[in-house]
Amino acid sequence: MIVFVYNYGMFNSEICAISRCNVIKMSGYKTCYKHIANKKAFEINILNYLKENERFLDLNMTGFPLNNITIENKRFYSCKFSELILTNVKFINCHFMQCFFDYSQFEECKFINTNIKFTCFAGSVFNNCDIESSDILHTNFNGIKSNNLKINESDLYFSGFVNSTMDNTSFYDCNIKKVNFSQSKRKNVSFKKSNYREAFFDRWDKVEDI
Amino acid sequence: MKLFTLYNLEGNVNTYLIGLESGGDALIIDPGHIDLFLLNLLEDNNYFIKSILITHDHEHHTKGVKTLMRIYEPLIYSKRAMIYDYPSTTINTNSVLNLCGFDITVIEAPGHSDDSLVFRIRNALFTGDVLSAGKIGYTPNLVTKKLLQDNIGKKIFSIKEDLVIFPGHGPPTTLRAEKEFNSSIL
Repeated sequence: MIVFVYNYGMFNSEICAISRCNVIKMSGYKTCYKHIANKKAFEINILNYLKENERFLDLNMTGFPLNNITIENKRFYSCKFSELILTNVKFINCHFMQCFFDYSQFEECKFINTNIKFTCFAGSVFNNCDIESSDILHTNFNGIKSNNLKINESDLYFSGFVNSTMDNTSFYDCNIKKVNFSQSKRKNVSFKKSNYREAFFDRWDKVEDI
Repeated sequence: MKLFTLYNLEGNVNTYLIGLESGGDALIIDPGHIDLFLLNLLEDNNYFIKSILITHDHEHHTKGVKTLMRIYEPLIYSKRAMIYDYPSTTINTNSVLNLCGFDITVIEAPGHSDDSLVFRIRNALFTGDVLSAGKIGYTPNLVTKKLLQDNIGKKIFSIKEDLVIFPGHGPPTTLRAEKEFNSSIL
């Protein structure tokens, strides 16, 4: 019997110090991103922190904009990246374990050789993004909106795209097992060379494998 | 608070181990399978299993109870009076639990099974088979399906905060995402 330990840690649930603001505070700060007075200094701090460390636990960056950066050989455990806005961000050889990217926006981002487990991307938007040579296990893509998303040579297991809207999206040479595509709206979606026999589609669904 | 998520291939069940950073007493939710790996994990983190929480009495969520009882003799908390041959403290919506340093809110949500419970610990909901990412638990007929949908709507979706959800099967999710994308409820 195989048992995987995905992570340890737990999200910090302390909220922003500003009264009536219910957003969870940023790591190391008393307020949420919106209420940080000196955003420039905060951004420099966060970027330095990302640069100097290899392992991140319970990092909360909710709502933070991240642009034009390559993040390589980092491990993220139990990090809260909700409503993140990422533009031209490359993740190379990174591990994400139990991270929450829900309602984030990915523009021209790349995930290369990443290991994504027990992670949530629900409600996120992917525009012109690539996911290559990655292992994606137990990951929640429900309700995502994708346009020109390429998922190449990756393994997707026990994950979900329920209620997602996918345009011009391709799954090329992927192993797709126990992945739930029910209620997904797909336009010009390709599964070329992918093994999707064990994926779940709606009964009336026509799967495009060209 | 440390949360270990353990995934068991048999039945594709998630087991959750929760304890304090400092070690000591720990609780386990739905021990579907216990093996040497988990026992080593407990030893390495200086944990002693004091409590077992059962979301519902289905074998792939409870199979490890026997092993844990032989080693740690923890107290079992569930909707049932007995789990296998071991006595369980019967809990319901009115139960106030403080186990291993954590306040636990109990939510009754029958439908998938008559003993289904959801546990809230801090900003996390452990939903067992009541609610998973994008779907609800299997129900044997339309009456129980309606019952489960009603319970989720009234008792879980009525929670205003955006909590994270750790289900008994499948990936984690958030309350906001389920309210918006779970087609079994919409």
